[in-house]
Order: sequence, then structure tokens, then C-alpha cells
Amino acid sequence: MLKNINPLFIIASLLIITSCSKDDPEHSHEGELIDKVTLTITNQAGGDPQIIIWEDDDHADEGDHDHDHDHGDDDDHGDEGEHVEIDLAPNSTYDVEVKFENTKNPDGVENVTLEVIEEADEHHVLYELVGLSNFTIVSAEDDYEDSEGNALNIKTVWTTGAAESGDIRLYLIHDPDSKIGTTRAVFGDGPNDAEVDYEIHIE
Amino acid sequence: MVSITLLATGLVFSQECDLTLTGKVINLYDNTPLEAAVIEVVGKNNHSVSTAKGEFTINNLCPGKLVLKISHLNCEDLYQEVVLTESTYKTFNIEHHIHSLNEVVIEDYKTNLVSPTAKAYILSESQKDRYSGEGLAQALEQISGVSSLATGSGLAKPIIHGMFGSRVGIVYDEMLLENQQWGQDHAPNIDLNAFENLQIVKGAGTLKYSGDTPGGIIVLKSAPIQPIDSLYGKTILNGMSNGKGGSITSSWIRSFKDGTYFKAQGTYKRRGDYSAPDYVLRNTAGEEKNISLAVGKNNVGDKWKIYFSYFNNDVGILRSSHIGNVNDLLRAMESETPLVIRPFSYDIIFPKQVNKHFTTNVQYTKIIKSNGQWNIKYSWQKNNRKEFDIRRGDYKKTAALDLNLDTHNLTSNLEWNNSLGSFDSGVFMLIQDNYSNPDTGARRLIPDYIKFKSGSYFSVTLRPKDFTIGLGLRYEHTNNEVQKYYTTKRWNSENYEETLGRYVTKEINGDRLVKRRLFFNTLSFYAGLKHNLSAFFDLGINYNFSQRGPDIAEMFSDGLHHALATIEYGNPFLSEETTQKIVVDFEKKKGDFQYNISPYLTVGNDYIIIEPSGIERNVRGAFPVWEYKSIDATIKGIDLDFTYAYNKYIQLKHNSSWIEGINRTDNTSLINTPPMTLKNTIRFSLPKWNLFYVELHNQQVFRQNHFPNNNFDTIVVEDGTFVTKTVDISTPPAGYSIYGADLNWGPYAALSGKISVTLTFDNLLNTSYRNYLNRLRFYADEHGRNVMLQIKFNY
Repeated sequence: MLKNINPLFIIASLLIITSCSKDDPEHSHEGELIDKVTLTITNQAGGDPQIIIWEDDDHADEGDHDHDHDHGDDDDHGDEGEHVEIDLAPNSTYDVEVKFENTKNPDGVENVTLEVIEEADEHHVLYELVGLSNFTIVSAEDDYEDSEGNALNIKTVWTTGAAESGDIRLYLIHDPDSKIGTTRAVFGDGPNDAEVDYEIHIE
Repeated sequence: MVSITLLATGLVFSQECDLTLTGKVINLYDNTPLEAAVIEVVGKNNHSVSTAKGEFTINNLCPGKLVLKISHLNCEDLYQEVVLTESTYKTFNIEHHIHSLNEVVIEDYKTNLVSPTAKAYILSESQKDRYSGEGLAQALEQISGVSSLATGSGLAKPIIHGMFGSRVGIVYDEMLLENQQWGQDHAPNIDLNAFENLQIVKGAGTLKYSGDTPGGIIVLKSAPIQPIDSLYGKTILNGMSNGKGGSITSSWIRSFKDGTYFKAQGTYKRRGDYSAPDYVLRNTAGEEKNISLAVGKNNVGDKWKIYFSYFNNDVGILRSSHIGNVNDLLRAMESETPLVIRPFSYDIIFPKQVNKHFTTNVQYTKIIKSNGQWNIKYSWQKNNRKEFDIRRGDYKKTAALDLNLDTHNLTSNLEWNNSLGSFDSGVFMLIQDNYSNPDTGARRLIPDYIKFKSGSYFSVTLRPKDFTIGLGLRYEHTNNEVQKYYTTKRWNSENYEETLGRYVTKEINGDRLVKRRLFFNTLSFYAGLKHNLSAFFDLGINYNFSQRGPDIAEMFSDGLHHALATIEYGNPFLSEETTQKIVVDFEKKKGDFQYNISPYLTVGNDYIIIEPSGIERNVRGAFPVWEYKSIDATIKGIDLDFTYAYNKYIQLKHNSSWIEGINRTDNTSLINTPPMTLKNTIRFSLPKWNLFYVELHNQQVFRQNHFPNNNFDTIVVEDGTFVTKTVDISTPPAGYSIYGADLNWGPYAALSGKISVTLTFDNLLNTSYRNYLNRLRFYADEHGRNVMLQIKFNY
């Protein structure tokens, strides 16, 4: 019996060795990961809207740079740790709309905001104010709501007072424990699907 | 199995009680005489103890019927009825179960050991069955030097002497388990209940199964099935208060005189959310369904077996551990309890894991003369792991990780042993295919690869008087073909154009596909010596030299680990790691006081670990980045086990371990080094009711004071200002002391088998504590009190 096994063993091993290669793996894109946040800020008094973009620079082809070295190209472009600046006029009111996108979809840029609105019960947009005392952000009249009437804060109204500077931190919270509040802690467990900082200059 | 040969002498019809019974006690499994078996006449104060040759003599016996009780440390008590009328020759077959003494049996059966010179720690049947409703890692924690690395309650993997994952091998029915063992949150996909024998060797053993597991080898084996007409098995029912869960496991074996047998076994477990002392651990429910079937035939000249098993579990992962970025982690760490306490539920929601593991084995053994055999075995393992996250839109119900691992293994070996020594040599061939499903819509955490591995080993054991000398050598050749997509961002930041540019086969959407073929040649060597100093003492020393090729995960990991908001990157330039380990075992194996002291030292070169390397910030927030790298490491420690039979009714058992892990390259401690642990048990039994006992346990875990500082800062908003805070992921939690109790009734004869009932209390005092080795320790306490009722039927 030993003699019979040996040739089989050799044939089997040859078959295995020669079949040792696979097809190329399909390229997968990261479906619902948000990598671009756009704020469209329109002064209610009139004028062109400001478009403020925060975007991951995965597509940048800039040669060597350390992955934890901060740099920014222009003021309106968010990049690893660089603050994005927003200039606003004092004593004014602005309509602001936020848009979340996934730009890595090979079929075209995906507007994730639509999914957020569809799943309103499981999302909330929070703006946390840092060092701004004459500034308010409230939900807009035509903002989206969840099934219990809680505003989503996709569309908000920003009201400025006297000149000042500070920051705003924007969060998109997924499946929060609470839907109402002004500080992040109140919303409890529920991962941040987006967290971006904006430097505000009111002058 | 034990056989008893009885010889009755004396006058037949006399009413005087002057008959003498002589006989011999033999261990049928290896045909050796059984020493120190106690043969007593039930109801009379008359007994004998078998000598080194298995012989015994009982005098002053009356003619007529008498009942003998034969007991031995490693056998279940046997009761046999004997009618003394005239000279009678009788052979009794006894099923050999390890005695339910609930202590780690430090045993040395000649043919069954993973290593002839290193200490084999064997769990007795009752010790293993105690965890039939839990899992392998929890069961192994009873052994000194073994801890668990857990990701919450339902997912734990064993750490042996400070090593886990790919450095610890799990062997079941002579085959190495191939599942995604690299991940810290990947528990072994195996059913503890499918195997009767469980032993571990802390170290590489004889190199029979693998050469790259310097941490240890866990060997699960089915009990041998004897060629007798029999239907037997075991059913265990468990009910647990913490988690309001239960499990049932049942095995049935039908054996025939001609050596044919069938075995069917299955397990079902279901539980709801676990609870910490003060709150429910939301989404820690789980379900497990396993089945195993075997058919085979043992002839005198050869044996064959076909085996099939299926393992399936669905495990929830603590809901509050699903975080987005570093600020979520900080917030969770700062709150003592989850912000919203949810009610108990049996639902398993996201995040969760679903694992499936199929095994098909075919094996054939040819017996050569009387003490040799040639084995050939083919095994096909198919593993699927799906990890589900909290997702959005079209991906809401889609797994974020979907890995299929297919492994074919063909092994053949020749072994031979006699009283002078033994010899084992084999060859193997393995082909493994990993497919990472792109439909997940998430970047592949590990890439597709195909691995071809082949090798051979050789080990020899010599047994000159009072010594056992073991030597082993193993060579493995590994050929990996890996195909991985790199993002432009990563490609540029690591300057891969220079080092990997030539491997790029195509570019899609900014991502580059790299195809690489990697070869590793590893050599492992073992040398061991065991000296039987006297009837009381043994001294063993074992040296292992192991080489381990890097895992695919260590080289090509690429993704976010949600529970720690950490991005992990592999290092494609790692080379083989070399580990040298020396273990000394000094054992006192006889008497009321028995102990084993085992100091060990492990030195690792090009030892692969994962370490923080910076912070990545993107639209989703800030994430610490950890990367794999090679360092030089030293792990040293000491394990201590002892048992003390204070008297017939009180026994003490202790095991403890101390371990220190050092990263010599960076001059810090090694992360996840188990803290010093002491475990004490005291068992009480009563004079009249010798089938009842009570055990009280205490486990003392000290705070781990040696840990690397991997803390980093983040900026949060508090009271309308930016505040810089340190995220302390390094500091281990406080030490703790946990008490437990076991009450056991049985085994009692019932129906045509035996029944035993155990009532167990874990964390009796409902202590709140956190475990350094639980990756989810940032979010919640460990389990509170658990009361478990176990009913076991042996039939």
C-alpha cells in the first residue's frame, strides 16, 4: 500500500503547486465613509454663498510628506489638522447647509447626506461653539426632522453679534443616545462619523 | 482502561471468612500495570493497594457475594460484584475517565503526550466540562501561566506565557486549527465539547504540529474508542444567571466489537446580554451552534476515520464600544458607566461577529508490527468570518469584514515507540486561500492571498534509566502570493514607490494593486531533558528554538479597529522572528504535598509587535496610528502549582504566575503582559457523603505596573473652549480579588448511567472590576455575579 500512495502523493503535490495563483482581487470602494464635508453659507441679506470644504486628501499626488505633518494649500481647503477659516460679518444672519459626501465611489461622488436624512432617527448634526459668545446656531425652519420631530441640523441659521473670533466644531453623530443638546457629551454613545473644526472670524 | 485479574483461593463451602483474593490491576490502554490503585471491599474495613507491578492481595474474605470498589487517581471509581465460590479468573473492562477531583492532573502517560520532556498540563473531564457553556480560553485559564486576551465577554483567546494569536497553536484531532488567529478580537472557532482530552504544553512541544508557536500548543483530542459493543456518551445541561442563558451539549458514541464506530456530538448555546454588577452590558448576547460527526474503524492492522464538524457563532459586541474617533474613545473612558443604561435583551444587534468553521478530515493509520504506525491525514478547513458594524444606507446590513479562509492540509508521519525510546517523523503540505469579499464596501482589512506551505519534522525520544531525552527538528517552507491595494495617501507617505513600485500591476481610482510573492524558510529545534530524581521528584529542562514567518496581517493590515478607534498598518518588510525559550520544571509528584515550579525565559529577536506611530486626522476625526515592527524582546516568568491534601476531607490547590515582558529595543515594557495572578482553591468533602464536595475559590489579580506608555493627546470642546486632554490607553486598571464557589453532587448512578449536579458561583461577591487584558476595559466593568447550574449525564 505504501508503494501505491507515493505516486499519488507526488501527483497531488504537483497539482497543488502549479495551481498556486489567484485572480486579481476586485477593487472595493469604501461605501459609506464620509471624506468630504461642505458648508454652504449664504448671508440672508444677499450676496454669493461661501463654499467651505473639508476634504481628505487621499487623491493628492504630492510626493513625500510625513503622515502626521500638517500642511494646508489654500485657506478654503481643509487638510490633516489644518484649520479651515470662515469669515463672517458682524450682526448678520446666515443660512447654512451642510453636505456629507463620499468621493471615492467609482460611480461618481456619493451624497451621503441623503442617507443621513433617510435615517434621520439615527443621526444628528451638532455644532459646538468654542470661544464665541455673541454667536448662535439654531435649526432652520425648513430643516429636516426625525420621526419624533427632533431637528437634524442639516440646515441651520447662524446669527452673529459683535466682532469676535472663535471656533466651531461640527459633528455628525451616528445612533446617538439622545437627540437634544448643545454639548457632545449629552449625545452619549454613538460614534462620530464626521468631526471637523472651523475657525470663525467675525469682523 | 483498566482490567482486573482476580484469583480467588481458599475453601469453597466453608463458612469461615478465611478466603484470600489476589489479583492484578492493568491499564488496558497501554498494557502496563497500574500502581497505587485501591481495591476495597465495600461495607467492610478491608482493602489493598496495588504494587508497582499492579498486584494486590486481600485476606479474610467470606464466601458469597461481595462488592469491590477499585479506585485510582486517574480513573473513575469502579464498583464490581464478585461471587466467591471457587477459584475464578475474571477480566473486567472499565472505562477510563479522569477522576473528577477538580485539580489539574499533572500526568505522564507514555504515548499520549504532546512532549515527553516538557510538562503537559491536562484538564480533567470535570474541569473541562465546567466550561462547556463557555469557551476554550475560559477553560484554559485554570492553568497557571495561561490568561485570556478578551474583546468583551464572548470573545477571548488564550495567552500562554505572554504570547497569543499566531504564537499559540490549537491542534484538534492532530490538525492545526486554521482560522483568522491573528486578530486580537478573534476567538478560536472551536467547540470545547467535541473533544474529551485537553492538554497544553507551554512552549513549542515536540514540533510535531508546528514550528512557529513558541507560546504554546493546545491539544484537543477525542478519547480512544474501544472495540466493544457499546452505546455511550454524555449530555451536559447548563443554565447561567448572568446573561440568562443556557447551553446543552450531547455526544453519542456507538462502537462495535469489530472496531467500527460512529460518533455524533452537538452543542447549542444561547444567552442574552451579560451584566456587570451595576448595569447591563448592552449587546453582549450570543448564540452558538456546533455539530461534529465521526465514523471510523479500528482494526488490528490498520485504522481509518472520517470526521466532519461545523462551528457557528453569532456574538454581539458591547454596543458602547463602537466608537468613531479618538474623542469618542476619550468620552467613553471618562464616564464610569455607560451614559444610557438599556434593559436586558436577547437581541444580537450591531456591532457583532458571525463566524463559521467547517472541517472535513480523512485519516488512515497502518499499524506496523506492534509498536509502530504510519499515518496519513487530509484535512479541509473552511472558515468564514463576518464582522458587522453600525453602518448607513445601502450598507446597513452588510458586513464590514467578510473573510473566507480555505485550507487544505495533507500530512503523513511515521512513528514508532518502545520502552527504550520513540521516534516520529513526518511531512506535510498545506495550501491556504484567503478571500476578502469586496462587496463589503469597506477597505479590505487583510488582502487576498494564497499560501503554500510544506515541510517536515523529525523527533526522537530516548529513555535511558531515570532520564527522558527529547530532540526535535522541523523545517517549513512558506510561499505567499499576496495582492493588496494601497491608497495613494499611504503609498506616498511611506514612499512605497521606491520599495514596492515594481510590484504594481494596475491602478484603479487612485489605488495601486501590488502583487508580491514572499518566501519564508523557518527552522525550529527542540531539546529536552527530564530526570526522574527519585520517586518523589522530577526535574525537567527544555530548550526551544523557533522561527516564525510574519503573518499576512502583520505585513499587510490596513484598517480601522473600531473598539480602539485605531488605524493599524502592516509592515511589508518584516522578516522571520526567532524565539528562544528555556523552561525548567521542578516537580514533586507524590505525597500529600505536591508541587511544580516552572521558571522560564524567552528571548525574541526580530520579534513582531504593533506600536503607536502617530496620529492621522481626516474628516472623520483624529485616529491614533499603530504599525507593526520588529524589536528585540525578553519575556521571563515563573509558574507555580501546588496541591496539598491536608487530610481526607480538606484539600488545598494553588496556582500562580508572574511574568515580565520587556521590549529591549525601545527600553519599555511589552504591551498586554498579563499581571501577576494568584489562584487558590480549598475543597471540603464530608465523611459520609463522599460524592459531595464544596470548593471555595479566590483569584487575586494584581495591577500590572509594567506597561508601555502609548498615551497621546487630543483636543476636545469643554465649556465652550478647546481643551487638550491626554487619552490614557496605557494605564492598566486596579488589581482585584474575585471569589467563587462550587458545590458538586455526584456522580450518582441513575437510569443506566451516572448523573452529577454542580452549582457554581462566579464572582460570588458581585465585585466591580476591570481586566487589563480585555480590550473593552475602557467602556465597562467585567461580569457581575453568575450562578450556574450544571447537570451532567454520563451513559
